[in-house]
Amino acid sequence: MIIVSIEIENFLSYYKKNRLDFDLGPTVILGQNNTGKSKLFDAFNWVLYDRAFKTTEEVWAETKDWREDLINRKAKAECRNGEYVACSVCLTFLDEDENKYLLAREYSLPKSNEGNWQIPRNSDLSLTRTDAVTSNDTNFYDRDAEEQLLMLFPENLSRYFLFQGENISQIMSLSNKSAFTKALRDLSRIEVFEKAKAYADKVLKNLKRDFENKADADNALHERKIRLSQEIDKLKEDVAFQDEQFDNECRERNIQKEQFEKKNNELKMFEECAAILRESDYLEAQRLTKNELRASLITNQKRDVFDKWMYAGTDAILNRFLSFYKQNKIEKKIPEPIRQEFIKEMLAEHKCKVCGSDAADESDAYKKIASFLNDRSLDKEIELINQLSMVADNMLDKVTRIPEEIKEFYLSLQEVEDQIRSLQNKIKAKEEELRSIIPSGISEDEIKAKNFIQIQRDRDRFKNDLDGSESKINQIKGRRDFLKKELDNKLEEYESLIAQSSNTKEKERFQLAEKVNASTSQFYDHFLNRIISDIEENANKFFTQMTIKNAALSGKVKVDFANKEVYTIDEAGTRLFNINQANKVSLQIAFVAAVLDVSNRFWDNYFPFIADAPISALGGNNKLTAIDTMIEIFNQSIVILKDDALTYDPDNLRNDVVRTMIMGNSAIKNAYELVMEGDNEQEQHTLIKKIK
Amino acid sequence: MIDSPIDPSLLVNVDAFHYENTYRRLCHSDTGKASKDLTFPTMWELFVWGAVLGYSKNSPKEIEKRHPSPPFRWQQIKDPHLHLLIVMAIDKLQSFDILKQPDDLRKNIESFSNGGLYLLHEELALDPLAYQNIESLINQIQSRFTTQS
Amino acid sequence: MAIKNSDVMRQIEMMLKGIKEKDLQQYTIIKELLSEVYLEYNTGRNRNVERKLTDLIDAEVSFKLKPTQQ
Repeated sequence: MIIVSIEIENFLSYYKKNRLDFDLGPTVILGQNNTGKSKLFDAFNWVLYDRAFKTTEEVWAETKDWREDLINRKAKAECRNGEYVACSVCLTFLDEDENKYLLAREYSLPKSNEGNWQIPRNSDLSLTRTDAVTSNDTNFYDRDAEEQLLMLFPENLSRYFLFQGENISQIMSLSNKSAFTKALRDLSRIEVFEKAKAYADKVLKNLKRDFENKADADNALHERKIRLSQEIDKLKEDVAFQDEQFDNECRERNIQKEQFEKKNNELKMFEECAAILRESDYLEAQRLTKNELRASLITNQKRDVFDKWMYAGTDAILNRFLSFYKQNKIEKKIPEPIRQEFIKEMLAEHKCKVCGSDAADESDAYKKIASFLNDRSLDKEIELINQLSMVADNMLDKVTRIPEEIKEFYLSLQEVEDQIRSLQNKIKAKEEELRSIIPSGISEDEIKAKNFIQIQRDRDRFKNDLDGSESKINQIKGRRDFLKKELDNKLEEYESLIAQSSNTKEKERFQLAEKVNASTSQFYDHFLNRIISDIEENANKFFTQMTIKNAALSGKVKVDFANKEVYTIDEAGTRLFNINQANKVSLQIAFVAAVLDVSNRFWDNYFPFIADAPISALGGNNKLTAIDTMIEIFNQSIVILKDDALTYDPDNLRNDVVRTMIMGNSAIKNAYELVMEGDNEQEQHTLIKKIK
Repeated sequence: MIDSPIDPSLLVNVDAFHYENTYRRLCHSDTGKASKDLTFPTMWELFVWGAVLGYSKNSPKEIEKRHPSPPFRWQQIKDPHLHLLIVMAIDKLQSFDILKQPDDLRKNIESFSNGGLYLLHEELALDPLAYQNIESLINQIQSRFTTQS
Repeated sequence: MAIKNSDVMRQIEMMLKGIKEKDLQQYTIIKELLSEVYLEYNTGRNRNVERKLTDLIDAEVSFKLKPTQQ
């Protein structure tokens, strides 16, 4: 089956007529929250099975009691008195022989002249089949249309080709084995053979009764036959009872296992959260230290700023001063200071040693020389000038080194800032990681305060119950095997008695019924085993494909039908118990994909894979490979994806990454984006944009 | 160190405008006491900063209205800053004679610091965060020689 | 109503091949049984398969016993 287009009119968030076209191969539909993604998925469900997701109760439900809620609010608001408003979904598709089908479901809601809604309960369904060869149209309506439709899209399979990611744990929970069994039975249509077997059993029972009720000519033979038959019936009853016990105990074990896994997951989740919080705290402490380091780097630099760096750029002034000083020095404008000893010497010798004249006591020259005694003003001035030149020289030396020092300062600052930034990114990534695993409504503080020991105790209690259940199952198995052996012996004896019977017709009927019964059983086993091994092989292929880029341990898929479980094993065939969440989800998708793919190939009847948020539960780097796999596996896939625009984690799936993938993947011919248009709640409706 | 010719006990004159708008904004209040949270821990450091700016950009400006109670004395300007200011004053006048007129020397330095602070004030008007913290000071310093080269 | 997808029957026939070669009687019955069950499974409507199977067996037995009665 290939979906050609869907046309949605006034249905939920879709106002007036909206149309999406599909090709063979993948179509990706992107949309942020509340843009009509799930409403599109609802449209597929409604047109095919008259069901939709009832958001008020969070369940999938038939719409017969709430159809008026399906009509678009804006369309309803615009409906005038005495008129009616209608919503419809039309699906166009082709079957394997290229016959074309137009399926339409419509619901009309009249409004009285007084403005009251008159709510009819029925929706109209019509199916038009256009023959590929003759182009003749055949029309079917309501019940007939529904009957035809169920042959084209069996409802039992619908949960798998109309795949809802957000409910994946409910449909595919590893611990809930019955869901897996159901998946297997639904998708592989094992039920057909199971039913055949049941009918064969029933008919055999009737014919056996006819055979036994007719008295045989040989009375002794007849009595033995009756007695043996009773014994066989009793043994069969016992075996059936053990079978039932086995089934019951398996169910019991499944419940315990589910509880155990739930607790175990809860514990793991809390431990994981706590570990992330611890790592976050550690990173935060590191960040604070680095912040302090940065602050102290700056504070330490403060002294240099005021001691020397503020003179940066004054080298010209300092140089000019020093030249001026030197020039004055050369021109002897700055005399050497006169030492006091030298003055005292001149006075003692009565001679001026500067100009060479005599200086007798009390002479002018003597007085002049004496005036320099104890007057240090000139010396002081000259010394100050010399001192200034030294200070200037000293600073000039420092000033020339400032650029280099500032560069060094910036480098060390840069280094610390880089470290801070890297720590900040790590913290943000941790926050994102935490958000992805933390259950809504639980705060960080609550996780920190969580009593792990209590959860651990609960888990261990469930584990004990589980172990007890397992050993009970083994006991039942043993008893059942013993009874079966005894039954086989009796049956052998009974066979020989049948051969001796003279009631030919009854005997023949009974024997033929037995043969049919045996063949049907064989047929069932053969069919089942073949499908299981096919599924296992495919699931393995897809699982490997999806997890190839994930470093975490993934293993091989094992479909263990005898124990009705799907799990992963290592190279040596030992079951793996600790696979991570991403791989668990991948395993589930791989399994659904495998069963659907095998079913498609086996029955040569392709179903499109329509998936709403198939990977929302999938974390980290499995996302893109999961999308790639989905695209590759199915003849036609319509994948509705949530646009995760706001995320800090570089490994997470952001809309730009998805867009790049859409544009870069030549297999994807159509891609749409859903956006919400309208200013207020009354006006808001989905708008479809074609992006590829 | 040889004492400067300027009487250390004298108060350093600052313009009332700068006292109100620049000193009080960038330094610790009246006492001039250092505080690690401020860009300029003391007022004399801002005075020196202004003078270096004034001399570098050759931008003297007479004090228009002297603040009635100047906040610090010449002795508070630590070595070797005062000496360096004198060096710049000598360079500006191209004469050592100024050393013999301490009053003129004082006025010269005060007017260049005053002029420098006007430049600083203009910068602040353009970029109010230019003197926000020590980092912005370092940026300022770096821009001096990057624009020069 | 005919079986919608002939390929389904082809698959079943392939699997029945072994029985056909050994026991035509049984083959006829099982083939008919499976097509009826398949229809019932797909449409969800009761097709009285139990009766039909009994009739099929009776018919085959009557056919087998006829020459010996003559």
